[in-house]
Amino acid sequence: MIRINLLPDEYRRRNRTSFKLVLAVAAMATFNGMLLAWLSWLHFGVAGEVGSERSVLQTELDGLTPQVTYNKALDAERKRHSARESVLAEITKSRISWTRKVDELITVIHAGGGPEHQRHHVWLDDLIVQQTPDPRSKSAGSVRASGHNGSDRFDQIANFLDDLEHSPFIEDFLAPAPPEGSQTLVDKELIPPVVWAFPLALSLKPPEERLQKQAAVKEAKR
Amino acid sequence: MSRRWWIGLVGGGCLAAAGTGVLIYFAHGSIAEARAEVSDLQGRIQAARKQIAGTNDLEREVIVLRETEEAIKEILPDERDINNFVRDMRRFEDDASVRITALKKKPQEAANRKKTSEDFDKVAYQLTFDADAFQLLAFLDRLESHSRFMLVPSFKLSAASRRSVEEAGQAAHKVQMDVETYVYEPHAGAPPVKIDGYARKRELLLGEITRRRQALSVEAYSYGGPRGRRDPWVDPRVPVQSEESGLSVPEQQQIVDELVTLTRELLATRDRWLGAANVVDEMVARADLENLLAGLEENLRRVEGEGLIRYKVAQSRLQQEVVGPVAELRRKVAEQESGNGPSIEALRELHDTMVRHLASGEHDLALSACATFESRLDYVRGDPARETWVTKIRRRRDEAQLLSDFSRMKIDIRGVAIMEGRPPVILINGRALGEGDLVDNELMIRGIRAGEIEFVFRGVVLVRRF
Repeated sequence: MIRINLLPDEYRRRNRTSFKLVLAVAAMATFNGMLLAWLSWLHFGVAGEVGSERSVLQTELDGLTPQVTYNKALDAERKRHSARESVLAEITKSRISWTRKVDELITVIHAGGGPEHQRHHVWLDDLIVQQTPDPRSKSAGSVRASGHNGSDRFDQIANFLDDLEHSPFIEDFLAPAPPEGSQTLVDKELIPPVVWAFPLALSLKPPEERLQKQAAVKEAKR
Repeated sequence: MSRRWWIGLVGGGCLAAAGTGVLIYFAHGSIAEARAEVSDLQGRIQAARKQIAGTNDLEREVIVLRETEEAIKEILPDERDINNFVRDMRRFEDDASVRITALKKKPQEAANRKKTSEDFDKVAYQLTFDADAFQLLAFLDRLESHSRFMLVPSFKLSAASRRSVEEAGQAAHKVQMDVETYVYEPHAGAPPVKIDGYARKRELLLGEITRRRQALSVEAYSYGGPRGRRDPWVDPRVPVQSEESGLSVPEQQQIVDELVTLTRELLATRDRWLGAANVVDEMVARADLENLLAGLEENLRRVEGEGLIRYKVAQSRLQQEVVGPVAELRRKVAEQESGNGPSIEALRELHDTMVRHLASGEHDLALSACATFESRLDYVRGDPARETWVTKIRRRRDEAQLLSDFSRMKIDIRGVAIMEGRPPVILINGRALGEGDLVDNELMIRGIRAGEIEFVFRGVVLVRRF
């Protein structure tokens, strides 16, 4: 159908669409078109590319996963074993060979030679050995004994402690306390008749110090 | 078109633009997310590759650890092995000759249980036993050098009293000892990972496995025995009269130790003799026994005769571990002879012993040796071979008796006067006597020379030098 505007010119202009409006519509259309183009580029271009890259990487990761799982299982097993090994090492390394220590103590006492050699003539009434397993404890342990020296020369107690300090026995202990003692009953039926009683008290070195010392000795032996 | 229509169109356009803008915004967001995922995947892949790169080292480490696990099982007992641990104590008791009087399992709380790991449980025992210093050391040595890890965190020794040591001849100190071990019970976790070509890879790692096992092994001290040292928990003072012996306490103890060792050897030979499988073995063992018995008796006579052992402890031990068993064995040997008298080997040994005693001037010891056989010598009548030895023995006995009696005679020589052309004179027991004079009813002076005098005693010429 053809529509014919029969209105006079002056009336026709009034009904004509405003140029500005047309321009605005056109601009709007253009703008919308550009936005749609941008959206399309993002969706089909950029997002597609990233998605494809992601799927490639995912495939690659999926391929690596069994190896990673194997590695993790191995690592877990290693940790289990290592923990046991280190616990065992901790238990065994903290041990003191009391066979060695008592043997060394007997050697020092025997080397005194008795009254005729005038070094010392020591014997003991007891021996109390205590090792503290807790590393947080203040003392690592101690060795205590009630000693006697068969002589009226009380300086022999100092000789004995000197010998102890210069023997391998002392390696695991801190230095003994200074000598002290008291004369006990005199028995003229026995030789020697005079006896001095003295306390023997030694503290164990802390485990780290002992281990360091042992390591140094081993190194020196090499 | 109406103006309204146009306005509607523009408004719609604006709305469409806004909508598209929103879509673009979300598209950007989703792209950013996707990129983050990509970045995350890249990171994960990189980390995975890095992780995988260490798989070979990890495999090796796990193989080494699995193999050292066997060493841990050897060092620490499992629950079943705790019974063996107790059996070991019994064995150590025998080996070290200690006397265990109590064995108590300490409760875990009291033992201050160490929470080391779920796989390790501390097991603590308290032992009470009697031992001397060297038995204690032997026991400790067996504990600490055992392939199973054992720890002695504490012990207490109370010395035996001087009187009890003197009576028993051996120290029985009271020892209370805590012994700990750790039971290894690995808790059920994930099963071991299957490693391809495990055996081959293990072969390649044998060196490292050995090194790690050695590092885990528990260091032990090599105890060398008493080595002639005295027990420091025994009062070493000796009674005043002990000075006569001239030997120190360790020297006296060493003599007794040697005699005890010989006695043990003798008793082992006796067992060999009694358990001989055939006549030849029996004869060989019997000869060895006679030889050892005669030698030991000779030593004992010498030790007792010279009064070498004066230290009470050593004396008691000598009596209990040497003199008693030797006398008992001599009695048994005599019983075995069942009226036939001593064997030819025994007679030969007796004769040789007497000769040695006489050569050393030990006449009384020679007589004492003969006295142990005297009552049985008559049984050999009718056996020419043995009779020959009995004759020789009796000759030696008479010789020893003569010398013993002579040595007991009081002969106090104060001086000799020898002058040319005159008979020599000697001053004996305050009397001036010459050759041919009697000192005693049985003792005559046969000759006087410078430095020696010849006597005739019971028809035998004897010389005394001065």
